Formats: sequence, structure tokens, C-alpha cells
Amino acid sequence: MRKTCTCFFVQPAVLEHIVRTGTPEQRDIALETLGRDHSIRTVRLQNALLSDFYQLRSRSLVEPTPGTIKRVIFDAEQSENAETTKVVWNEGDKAVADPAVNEAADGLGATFRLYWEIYKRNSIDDRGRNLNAVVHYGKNYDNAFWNGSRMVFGDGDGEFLTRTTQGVDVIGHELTHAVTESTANLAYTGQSGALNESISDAFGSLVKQYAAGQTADQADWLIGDKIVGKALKGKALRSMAKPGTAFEGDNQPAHMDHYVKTTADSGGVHTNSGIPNCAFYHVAMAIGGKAWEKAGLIWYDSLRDPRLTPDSNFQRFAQLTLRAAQHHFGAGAESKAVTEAWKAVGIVLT
Amino acid sequence: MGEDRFEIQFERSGGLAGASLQAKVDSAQLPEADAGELRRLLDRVDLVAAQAPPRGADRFQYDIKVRHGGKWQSATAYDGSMSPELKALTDWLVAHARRPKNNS
Repeated sequence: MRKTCTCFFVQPAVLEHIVRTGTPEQRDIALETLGRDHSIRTVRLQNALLSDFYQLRSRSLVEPTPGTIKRVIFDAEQSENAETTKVVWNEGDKAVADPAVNEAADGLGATFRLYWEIYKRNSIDDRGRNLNAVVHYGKNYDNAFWNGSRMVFGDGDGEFLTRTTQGVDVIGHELTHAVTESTANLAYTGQSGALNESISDAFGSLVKQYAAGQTADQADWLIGDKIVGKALKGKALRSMAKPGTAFEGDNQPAHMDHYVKTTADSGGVHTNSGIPNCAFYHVAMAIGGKAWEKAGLIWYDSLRDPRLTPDSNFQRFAQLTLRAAQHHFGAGAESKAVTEAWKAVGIVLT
Repeated sequence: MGEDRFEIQFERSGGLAGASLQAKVDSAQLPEADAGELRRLLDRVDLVAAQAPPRGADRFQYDIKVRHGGKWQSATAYDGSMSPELKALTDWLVAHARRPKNNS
């Protein structure tokens, strides 16, 4: 027979002892008390968590609000040490005498603004990560790259490339590699690598267009036009509108029929990127207006789509761009523009 | 030259520009000082050791093939994950590829 429990404040250890050693009646009472005790403890725990939650919320008020940029510029002083600790510019500092530093800060700022103001992306990782850049990397170094934690800029040799910080599209390109790394993380080889490259070109170009307030038909759709030297014999590193025409020896294809199979350049990642580059250009031109508003949104959403995996190919990405277009704009002109653009480069969507 | 003779096929690809830089080197056709310097650089590297691509994007990729004593050896390496010895060799080859063509 169970009795109505009379509540005592008994320590759980004592109750457990009764459960183990008491008479069946004592045991029932002890178990019921333990159960109630447990539920009370659960409520207390929940209250504690809630109060932590409110504390966390109030604590976050003193942390940077989302959309607050934090840039740090380092100087490699012509060494090939990308991990240099020499800081030459911090967020909030005024412009300095070194143009590379100012250009890097401005380019990082322009890129941050596009991602935040248009796509509500809070920095490269969407969690407000610092933007760290290294200038004057190496001697006459003809390259800029993303090393997994920093944007690294060479000064160029003045013949093939000039100071790489001069291209806001170049800076947008490098930062977008970080965005891709924290989203689809497309493997840097073959088609997924070319897609990775193309996404960097697309958003690099959008950073330039957004900063200049240009519509799609006003944009040059060139990548690196501000950093090419005379020896490269051309107007830019890449042309998104007409892949393969940027400089002498530019072998970018604009159609799947001319996809380049090679082991150089991680499987031609800077070559075959011409195919999705051209598709993006066609989408933006067909939709018209400011390319970041619709074409950019479609591309950005596709990049973040969990169905875009590290080994995805052009076809997979293309299919996701159509889904994104349909999701945002229905089955109208935008979706048609996407289907037609991919068809023009040899990728048929279903 | 005989057994000391070696040939190198070199390509630097990738990088932000994605432009290829190539060179073919035949020690028999190099000025003696250059051939000696290149031989010393080659002696110090282990071409067989595989170089995994480092993190990030837009790094230079180097493909090096060396023929010595009738055998070809090849290696692929990337900026940011090379040994100092291999870096010294690729630096020499890049400088050579950039030089006006008269001895390759």
C-alpha cells in the first residue's frame, strides 16, 4: 500500500540508502520523493541555464555587434613569412604613407561591405572573424593568395604583375576563397577547384561593381585589370564576359566542349573557371540591373546550400543555382536566365 | 660532360593569374658556372619526397622533371610547403625561365 508522501527535505543520499535497505513501504516513499526531488532539480537546472542565457545575452552587448569590421594589416617586409607579427595598420587607424597598406585596408573594407550590406554575412566566416592581410610578401612576388588564415599580397615584379593590392577585385577574390572554405569548402582540384576559383572571380567582380555602383552592363567583367604589367600582354588576368581573351596565352574555355584536362594548376582550376565565370556573366546580363542583387544572391545561396559538397562539379552547382533562382524569384525571367546561361556554356539543367 | 649531364623540364603554374611559366634546361648548354650552381642545388633536394598541397588557394604549383643518367625523376611542389632546398631550386628555375632565351 502506498501512503501519501509527507515531504521532508531529506538528502538524496539518505533516500537512496532507504531505497536500497528499507522495507518495501519505505522504499516506495523514498523512490517517490527521489523522483520529485529529481524533477525539482531539473527545474532548478533549467532556471540556471536560462539565467546563464540572459547573462550571455547581456555579455554579448559589450562584444562587437554583428557587421562590425576588424581589419589588421601586417608587413612581411619582402620576406616570404606570411605569419609575420609586424602590424602596420589596425582597424580605426588613419591612412598611412604606404599605399599597399591603404589599398589592402580599403579592399578588405569593400569586400566586407558587400557581404554584410547585401547578403548579411558577418565577415568571411559569418561570425565576425578578423580580416588579416599581409602586404609586401616576398621580393617582386607575382602573386596574391589565401593561406588558410590570411590574405597575402605580393608586390609583383612590375613586368607581369604590379602591386597586387591595387585590384579591389583581387582582394575580393582572395577573401571569397575564405568564404568558400567556411561554406561548401570546394576541394581545390579539378572541377570543384575551378568552381572554387570561379566563385572567387564572381564575388571579386561584384565587390568591384558594388564599390563603383555599377550595373551589370556598365561593369568591365574583368579580373585583375589594375594589376597586369606590360609583359603579360593583355588587359586583365581573366575576362568573365569573354573567357580566353584577357591576355596573350589566356586559354580559358567558355564552353564545356573546350574543358582543359591538365595536371598543372591543380588540374586547371584557373583555366576551367572560365566556364562558370561565363555562366555568371550571362545570368547577370540577362537579368540586368545591379548584378549583386539577383545574380549574386542566387550564387551566394547556392554556395551555402548544404547540397553543395567539397567534391561538387559544375553540373551540381548549376542545378543549385536554378533551385535558388526558383526559390527567390519563382519560375520567371530569373530562372530562365539561369537555365539559358548554363546552356550557353554547355551545361543542360533539368 | 658525359654522366654529369642532366636535363630539367620545369613548369610553374597556378597562382592568382594562373599563367604558366616554363623552362627546359640542358646542363650541356649552360655556361659552366650556371651548370655547376644548378648541380649543387639539385644535389641537395630530394625530388622523391612528396609535397602535399598546403591549405588555402592561389598558391604556385611547381612541376619539376629531372633526367640524369638516362632516368627521369619528377616532383610536384607548392609554395608554402616546400623544403628550403627545393625552394632554392625553384627560385633558380623561375629566374632562369624569366631570363631572355639564349641558353636553353
